[in-house]
Amino acid sequence: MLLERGPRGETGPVLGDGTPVADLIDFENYEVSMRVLNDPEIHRLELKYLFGRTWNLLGHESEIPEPSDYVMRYIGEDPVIVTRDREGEIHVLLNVCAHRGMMICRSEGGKGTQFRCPYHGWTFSNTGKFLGAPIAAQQMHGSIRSKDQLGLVKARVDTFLGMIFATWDPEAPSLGDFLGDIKWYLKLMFGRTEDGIEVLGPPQRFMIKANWKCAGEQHAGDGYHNLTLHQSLQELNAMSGSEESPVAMAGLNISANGHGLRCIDTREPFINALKGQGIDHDMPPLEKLKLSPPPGMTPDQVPALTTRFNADELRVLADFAPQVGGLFPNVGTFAVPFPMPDGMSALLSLHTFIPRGPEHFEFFNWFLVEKSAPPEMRRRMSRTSNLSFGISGFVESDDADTWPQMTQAAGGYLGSQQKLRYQALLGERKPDDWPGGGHVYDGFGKDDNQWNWWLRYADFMTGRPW
Amino acid sequence: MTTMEQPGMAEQLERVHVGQPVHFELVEFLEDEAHALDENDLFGWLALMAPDVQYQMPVRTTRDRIDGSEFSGGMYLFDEDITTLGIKVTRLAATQSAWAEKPPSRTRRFVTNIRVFRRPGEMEEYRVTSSLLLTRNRYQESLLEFLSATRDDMIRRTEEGFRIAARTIYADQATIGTQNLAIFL
Repeated sequence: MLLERGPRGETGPVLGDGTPVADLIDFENYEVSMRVLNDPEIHRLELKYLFGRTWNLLGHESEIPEPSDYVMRYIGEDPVIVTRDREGEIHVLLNVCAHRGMMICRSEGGKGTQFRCPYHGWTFSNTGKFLGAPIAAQQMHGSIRSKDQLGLVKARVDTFLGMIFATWDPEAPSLGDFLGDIKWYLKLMFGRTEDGIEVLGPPQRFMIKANWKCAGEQHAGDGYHNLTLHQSLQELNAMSGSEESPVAMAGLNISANGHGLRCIDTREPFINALKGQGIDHDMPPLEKLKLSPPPGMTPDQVPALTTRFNADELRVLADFAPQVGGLFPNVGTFAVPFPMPDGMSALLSLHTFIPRGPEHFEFFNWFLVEKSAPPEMRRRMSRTSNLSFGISGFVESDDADTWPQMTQAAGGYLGSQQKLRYQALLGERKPDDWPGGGHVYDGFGKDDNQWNWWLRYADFMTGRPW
Repeated sequence: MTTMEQPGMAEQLERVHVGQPVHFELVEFLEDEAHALDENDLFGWLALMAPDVQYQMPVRTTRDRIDGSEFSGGMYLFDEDITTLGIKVTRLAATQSAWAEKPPSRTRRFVTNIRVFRRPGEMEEYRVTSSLLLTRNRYQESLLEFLSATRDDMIRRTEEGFRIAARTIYADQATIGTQNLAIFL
């Protein structure tokens, strides 16, 4: 991944006014031109250079558990059908008829082994194969293209911990390489049990009048905004801290291939998650975890963690659990312990930010639970999740009112020339005994993660993502 | 997935017709409730909820009829009880940093098509369905945002007056067109 290399030399595509895309990012001064947040030309280039090449998160395997299940999703602005075939294999098909371009699937989900275009009736299998067109004797697909050439366009598909990803780029590295060192941390968030996690249902979908990158870069590691934008968390005692040591800032930022997340230092005495749990910090990790299980797990599930994690991993899970983050370019990841008036609860969530033109994006929000979670825990986590995150959650409803105004500001003549600044850099600080990979920034969360996100963006937009 | 139960079909309920005194009382109650929200009297609105209230808005997805209900039985846009409603209201009305509604939206609720059914049982409870059209406006935007929905309520008569014991909101949009639901329906 190019992120690891030094200064960039490629200019990439050139915008209509003569500005090379590479010039939008000032590598010496750690600044990004605000023009990127509101420009139709850049938006079109992103569809090709970024969404057309990266691995895109489309959903979770538990949404299509049975053969012939499908859901409709988006890669950039392209609608795709995510199907599961008779053998259980997942396919991602461009939802555009090979005949005249009609969308062949108009439902967001359901069951079906075939998709029949409503326009002229061309029919495709759920693996994308062209099966036939009405009035076979007339051979309405002609004789120039063979039936094999008339299948639906297919993406490469792979999964990680049940998350379904797809890419259009035949040159893209494997999903495993694309995720890189962040995989180790994601497993601590979403891969803690043998059965794994599942969605509570189809995702929330809502439209935000903002450029998708406002949300994309924030999720790479912006812990700083918690202190002001989410100040009500502290006012409501959902997140406690002090001026010198605000809770969201105690821990380590991790960055790998543009993906990022924050490991919160749960040893801090003011951390809500551990308050009143009777935890002594000299206890072995497993004992701590029995008293304060990872978010969304029950105490009786804790002993089996040793079958999936080694001593180093258990220590990180107990003392520095990764809680909030994002995957490059447009994914949010959450495994968060959350205090409720009747005791600790938790939420697990995935977000995607799907571009809808330069000034809008669609927010997809999944809430998840352990498959093995008892019914009462599911109910509680649903309540906790809806209280705090997603469209009505009191945390994210504030974010949703911020991004539109950044986007609007970027539409002005002078606004478009202003800079997004990432000059508060902590620099790499990896504790000697830190067992995880990636770039590690131990301390007050600064701009390092998000700057790395923009470097990764630059790799894609200058045509050198791999 | 659960199907949306139709009053009088899923339960054997007795219709309370337009013109009956209770129907008028419930119309007045729903209008007063809408007024409290339109006027941003959030604590006044919260006081209209029963302590055991269940306030839910299921996620809707576009589906073929053959694939069953469009409404999810497990995933919600609101999934609240009196505690979480209380936290949300307290944040919006009593903290200094609920930016989502600071400054507040201008909202207006049009409540129509009110149908009332008497529930059997010891408590005096009514199943009330209504149509809601909610307009929302923020900042200097010239256009209104719209949300339209069917509401399916359980309304209980108590010594203090009517209280909402359950509300399920069935939105018309599968993709909600407003950036957050820091408002109530």
